[in-house]
Amino acid sequence: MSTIVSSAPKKTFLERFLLVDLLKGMWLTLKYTFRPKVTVQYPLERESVHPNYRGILRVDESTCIACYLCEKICPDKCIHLEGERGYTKGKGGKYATYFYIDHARCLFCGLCEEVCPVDSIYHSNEYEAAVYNRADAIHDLRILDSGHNIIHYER
Amino acid sequence: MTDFLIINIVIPLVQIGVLLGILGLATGYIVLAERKVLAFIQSRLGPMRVGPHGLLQPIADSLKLILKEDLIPGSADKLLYIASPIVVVAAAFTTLALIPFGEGITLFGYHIPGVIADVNVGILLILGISGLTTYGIILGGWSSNSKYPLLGAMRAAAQMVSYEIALTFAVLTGLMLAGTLSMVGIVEAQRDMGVWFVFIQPIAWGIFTIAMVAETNRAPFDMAEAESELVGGFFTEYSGMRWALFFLGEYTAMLVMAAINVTLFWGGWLRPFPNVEALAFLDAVPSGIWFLLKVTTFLYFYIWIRGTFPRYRYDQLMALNWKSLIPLSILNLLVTGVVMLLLAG
Repeated sequence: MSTIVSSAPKKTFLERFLLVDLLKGMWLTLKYTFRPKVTVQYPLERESVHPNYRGILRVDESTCIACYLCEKICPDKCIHLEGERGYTKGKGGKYATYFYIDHARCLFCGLCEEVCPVDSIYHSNEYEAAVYNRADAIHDLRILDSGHNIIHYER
Repeated sequence: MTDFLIINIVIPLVQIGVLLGILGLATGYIVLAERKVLAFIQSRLGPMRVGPHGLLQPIADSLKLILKEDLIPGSADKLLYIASPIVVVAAAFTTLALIPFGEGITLFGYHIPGVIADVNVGILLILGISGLTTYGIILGGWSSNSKYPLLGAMRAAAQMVSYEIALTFAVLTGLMLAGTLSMVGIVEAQRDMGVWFVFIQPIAWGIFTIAMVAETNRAPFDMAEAESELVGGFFTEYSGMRWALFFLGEYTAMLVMAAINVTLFWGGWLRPFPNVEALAFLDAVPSGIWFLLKVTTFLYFYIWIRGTFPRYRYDQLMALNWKSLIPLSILNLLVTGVVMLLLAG
């Protein structure tokens, strides 16, 4: 085996004796001690999310035509809806009578948002959706339309 | 008779009471300072929730540790297991009695010295009693009856014993300049010479600083408790208050080493430029404050080093000591001796 020659710059004896590179390292950490910190102190401060963020799903009840496309494309089968023909929209279209999304299963992939022909289902910017039991994670049409009850933690 | 009693019993008792009271709390706050400073170096904030900016964190921690279950592993050697944290803490706290915190104040006509016990072999006693911490660590590792603590304890003991040699040689060089072993005598020698020893003996100071970090098992020499490698090292099996006692002992030893460094090389409780008349207005600051400032700087230095350097591998650690520090310190001692001889005669 041939000896391995290091390609690092050779240090003079004085540099090694006076621990120059150690001092350079300490200077770096000292500089960082006084720089602004990157911590976001939740819940006193919150990260802002960009507009494309896929948060909790919302459905605009007035535009939904109950085409079942979102239910069919959902990979997790977490959307369930039932539709009926009716005259509620003034032109005899279909409307959803029963719509629920299980947010505990939703993987926030955004496929239902992409496939909806009338842009009725969409991801909002909310991400604080923790619940105490699985039943509360199922959002029915009323919640999907008006937005779920967001609890902003203060402490 | 009352005079004798007051000077020899009451005053030391009061001093001990004050010291123990303050030091218990202070060590907790050194832990908090470590967490905050390490966090700041790493671009994060550290404890912020308990109290303003995390200031009540040590109290929360102490309460939690006191209320934890007292666990003794079934196969552990009971007596040694219980005794080892006590040995570590007792050794660390005993050395506190020998450190001069200041010049002393005069209250009610009695002079209260800045040191509880001004023994004329102060430095020797401190180094000797600090060596007892090694016993506590070995006992802790051995009595836990488990592989990781045993390995950690053996490594820690070997490391501490070896670095004590470099430490002692560095201290010796400083002592040669002072001419006395008493802690107060060393500070007074620096005042009489008009210069802090670090400016005459920078190499000895450098060796002492490196050896003191290694002696107290602090990063980057903390192979014994290397958290990512040996779980907890020699205190893996300890939990709750016993673990807290080990921690307390370690941080107190850190404090004592920083105090020795300050006393030996940085003028103890002297103000900067002690003999320059133009700066006499600095005398208004009590000597204890200077000491505190200097020791705080060294504690910050300890934490700063921890946040900057990666850990030494065990063989690199021992090689550093035996191949670099000890020969250098002996050489330094020789050269200092020769120069002092030439200057004297």
